[in-house]
Amino acid sequence: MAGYDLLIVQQLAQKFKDGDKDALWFSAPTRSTHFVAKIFACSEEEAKLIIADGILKLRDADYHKKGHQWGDATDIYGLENYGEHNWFIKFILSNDDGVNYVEEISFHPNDKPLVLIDGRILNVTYQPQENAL
Amino acid sequence: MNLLNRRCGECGHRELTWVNGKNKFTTPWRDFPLVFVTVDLEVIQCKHCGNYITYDAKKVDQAIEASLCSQTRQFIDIIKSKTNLKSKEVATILGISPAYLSSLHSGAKVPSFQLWNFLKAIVAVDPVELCKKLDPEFNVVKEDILLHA
Repeated sequence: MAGYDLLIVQQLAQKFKDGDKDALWFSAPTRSTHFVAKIFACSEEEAKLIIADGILKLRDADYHKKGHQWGDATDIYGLENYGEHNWFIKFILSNDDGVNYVEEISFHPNDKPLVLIDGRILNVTYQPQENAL
Repeated sequence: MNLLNRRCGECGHRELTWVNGKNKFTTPWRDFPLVFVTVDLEVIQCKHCGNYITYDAKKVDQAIEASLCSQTRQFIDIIKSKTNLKSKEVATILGISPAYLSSLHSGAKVPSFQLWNFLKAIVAVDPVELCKKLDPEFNVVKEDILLHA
């Protein structure tokens, strides 16, 4: 079972889309926005909105497993066929002076097959050299 | 947002501070594998691992566009001053219209990565020699360019 309520996470993703820059915290760009910018050939703003949209597409059945990072629990999901790739998504639901926000740790194509809670297996769809010059 | 509460996603430390990313911050952007930001831009940096985190994406995009336009204008100016070519001749060498070259120089348009990289290569290597050979009228047969390649 997921550690965080996906509905709350998605409400924060929607708040971000509606203009609340504090609702999603993109703290690891090399594992999130950089991948999205390369794969979608998009701007910084578009990359963050694509990630928010990706979070909004998640369903309970997309859950992979719980993890731990820096002493906090993380939830890991897999998103199938988003922009022609499968994605590994990891986040922490954190709190900033009483206000919830999502620490977006990872949002990148999975680099090994990902087994979801409903039994689906998300294969690796992205090879880094695809975008190499 | 209280920066003291926020954590670096690369190393997990809570040692973040606002810095000017000018000439330091780089990021993939549109068709550019990497853009060097060469204008003022406030970004968050982790004092522990050096990771850069962006906050206001709109401002980041504006700074990247301004950086690319400024770099492009400098490339064009260097090529013109070193080769004494007119704008129309430079446009011919680049394979673009004089009007498009003018809009690149004024910053009204952002170049593609291919064009930006082409300009960069001309400036970095030898603008005079390279522009001579990039002239579409340069005779590749007479100059034996295919044999010497």
